[in-house]
Amino acid sequence: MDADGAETYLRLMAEAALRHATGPHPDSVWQYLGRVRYVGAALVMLGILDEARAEGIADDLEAAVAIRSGQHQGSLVPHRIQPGPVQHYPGTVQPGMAATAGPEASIPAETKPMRAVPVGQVFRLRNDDTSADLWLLSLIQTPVKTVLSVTGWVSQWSPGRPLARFGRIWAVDDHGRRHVAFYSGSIGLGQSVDGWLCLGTPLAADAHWIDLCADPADGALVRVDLEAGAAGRVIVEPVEAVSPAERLLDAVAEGVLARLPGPGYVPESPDELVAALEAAGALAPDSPAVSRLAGLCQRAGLDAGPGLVAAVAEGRRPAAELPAPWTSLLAYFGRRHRPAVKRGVAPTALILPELDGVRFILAGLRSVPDHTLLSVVALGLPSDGDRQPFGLPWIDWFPWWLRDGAGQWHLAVVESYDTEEKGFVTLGLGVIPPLARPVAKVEVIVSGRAARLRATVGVNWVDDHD
Amino acid sequence: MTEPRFPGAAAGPQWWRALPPAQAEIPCGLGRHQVRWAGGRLVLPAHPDAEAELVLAALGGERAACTDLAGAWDRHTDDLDVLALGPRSQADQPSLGWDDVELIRSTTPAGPLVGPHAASVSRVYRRSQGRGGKSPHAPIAFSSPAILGRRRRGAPGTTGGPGFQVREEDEGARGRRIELLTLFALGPAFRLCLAAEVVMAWAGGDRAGDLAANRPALVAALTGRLAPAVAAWLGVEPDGVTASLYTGAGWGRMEVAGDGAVVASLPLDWLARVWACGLAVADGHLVVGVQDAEWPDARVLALAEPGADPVSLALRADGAAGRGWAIVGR
Repeated sequence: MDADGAETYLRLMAEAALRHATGPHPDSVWQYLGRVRYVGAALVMLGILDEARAEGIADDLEAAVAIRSGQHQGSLVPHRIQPGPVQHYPGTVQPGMAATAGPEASIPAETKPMRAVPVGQVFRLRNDDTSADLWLLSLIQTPVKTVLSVTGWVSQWSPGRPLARFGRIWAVDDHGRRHVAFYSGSIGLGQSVDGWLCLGTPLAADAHWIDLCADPADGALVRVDLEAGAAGRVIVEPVEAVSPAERLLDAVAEGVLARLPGPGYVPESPDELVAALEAAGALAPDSPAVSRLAGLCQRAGLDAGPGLVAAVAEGRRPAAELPAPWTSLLAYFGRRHRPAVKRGVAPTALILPELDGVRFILAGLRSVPDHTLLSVVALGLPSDGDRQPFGLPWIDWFPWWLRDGAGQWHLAVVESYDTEEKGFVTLGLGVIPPLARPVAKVEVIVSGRAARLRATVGVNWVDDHD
Repeated sequence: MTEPRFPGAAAGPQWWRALPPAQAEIPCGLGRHQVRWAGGRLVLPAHPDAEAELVLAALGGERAACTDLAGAWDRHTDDLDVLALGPRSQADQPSLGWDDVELIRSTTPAGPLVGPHAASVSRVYRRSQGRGGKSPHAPIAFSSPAILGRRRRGAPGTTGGPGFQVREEDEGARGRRIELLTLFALGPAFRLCLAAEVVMAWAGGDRAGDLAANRPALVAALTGRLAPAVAAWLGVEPDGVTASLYTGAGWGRMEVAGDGAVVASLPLDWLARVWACGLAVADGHLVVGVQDAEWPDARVLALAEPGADPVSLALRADGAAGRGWAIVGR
């Protein structure tokens, strides 16, 4: 790697940004700052550039603009929370090396049982001030904690203490052991609830079922059979090793695909990212990942990567065939008529084999007319994996794809990333495009550095809110 | 009038010969004293034996604001932040005055200025508040952590409130940044002189041995200043100008590539000998070297167009510093 080349590129970006931001026809300062920070973050993630140096370049640019602005009260450079230290992707050392856990991962040895139990029952909360239907999608028991994936709707609650009722939920197992449950997630009147009921104490290995109660006086509202097995088939297959820089470009491409439902301005700068990686010697001039990204930018019709598009069009870069999942999404969003999506929940639950030191567990699907959410529990992701700046979250290193029974591909992108403890993370993945209600089976594909998981799971829609 | 050539430095007269002298007045003691930059260094006419004063101050004597300022100047004569934040052209000047710096200082959460003279430097600017500066109650200016240096989100060993948390180890950098901004507040001419001193420290002075480790910052400093000059010279987009550090014999090279990009390679000290003096573009020529100079006169090597051989021109500064140079002979 050519660290000097990378740093020089980033510094020249900053010089150009300063000219544009303070010239006679100044553009948005934040746009340029964002681009410098984005490319800097990528170089840091790949281990090419020291984090302090990359941050310093962006900070100096910000300061240089500020002292030229003549605008006081910090309007150009407000106090803001700075993204945390960027995590290096473990694979930057040696692509294809043995899987290792994330930097902050702490995965207990799997001496305790792990369970993924589909539930698919509704938990109705009714009293004077609360009316809510909570669908329990699945119960996920891990060595760290036990959670139930929850979705549903709240139609009434106490204005002064909206979470009061949710704060009085218990679970009692078949041995009479009681566990307080806490709700964690989003909630809003007249809106969907998406989150997790977390048991405050560990669930015993010898528990066969639990009753969930909203109040001691109410008795059991839902019984969850812990012996109910999760159905699904998982294949682990090797993948061709690619460089970390190429994986990063594929992740960027997937970020472009995720914008297809709402095309418009793309804040990141694929052109500059590729140029920086080439300046750093991290990408070969004929890298197929670059050509794929260029081809995607060309076909997507987004304001992204015009330089790459021109390079391919003029023959300066080789053209590349786009992967089938990408073309599937492009075709879907190119259609005038798309399958309708209805409300529904599906208690899909499955423990996936470990991938690059991370254990993912499918925890349920929820669809509303324009959105499908896949709930996932992960063990081994870094606590701040969602805080990487500018669209380069750590989780993107594990691209998630779904293929439904009709052959349509769906991209799953991180919408929520909640860290609990000891490497326990709950994820909400937005599925693009959303799953149409007739889907009865999906294949979930998660790729790591050297292996790919292909899990086939049934989708049993158990509720229709309409 | 010539000096030995350093590695990475072009041959020619003493590098400051084409730089106009700079002058400012600051409060010191009970009066106001002149601070001047001439002959390649900061001078304090009211303190002819500044070193002796510093010794006395170290022994408990009264410290003078002028000598404190000189100490701060010395601490930044190899500071690459001067190039990162400072002007890119004669027209590009940070709008930074004494009152701005004082406000920045007053909104800094914590951290002393670096160096033994910090308190006194601070005193200089407090005094300046009452002399035509803005109201002390003026809006807070540039209170951004970005201006003041590196930031991190809250972590062990941080101070300050939410959104403004600073590692304790960053405090020194913050003080150093404020000190630099106080030097910028001396005015545009001083900023150019300070930039020139920094360049010479890296081109042939104390830091020349560290040049390789800081090449990216120096390449950016050169490109960021050459690009607007070439844009003004040729009417091209500055983004199409690339520059590298030239270390060979002669003045360097400059050509137009097939794609229209202007590719230049110039010695680092071009920034001190030419650019800082406002000589970069004169009467339709790009100046690439100074053969002889005694401001406001200079004999230079200049290009009429990229790829052409340089010609020798006699130039004279057009009045006050910063107004440009005109050809007076060939």
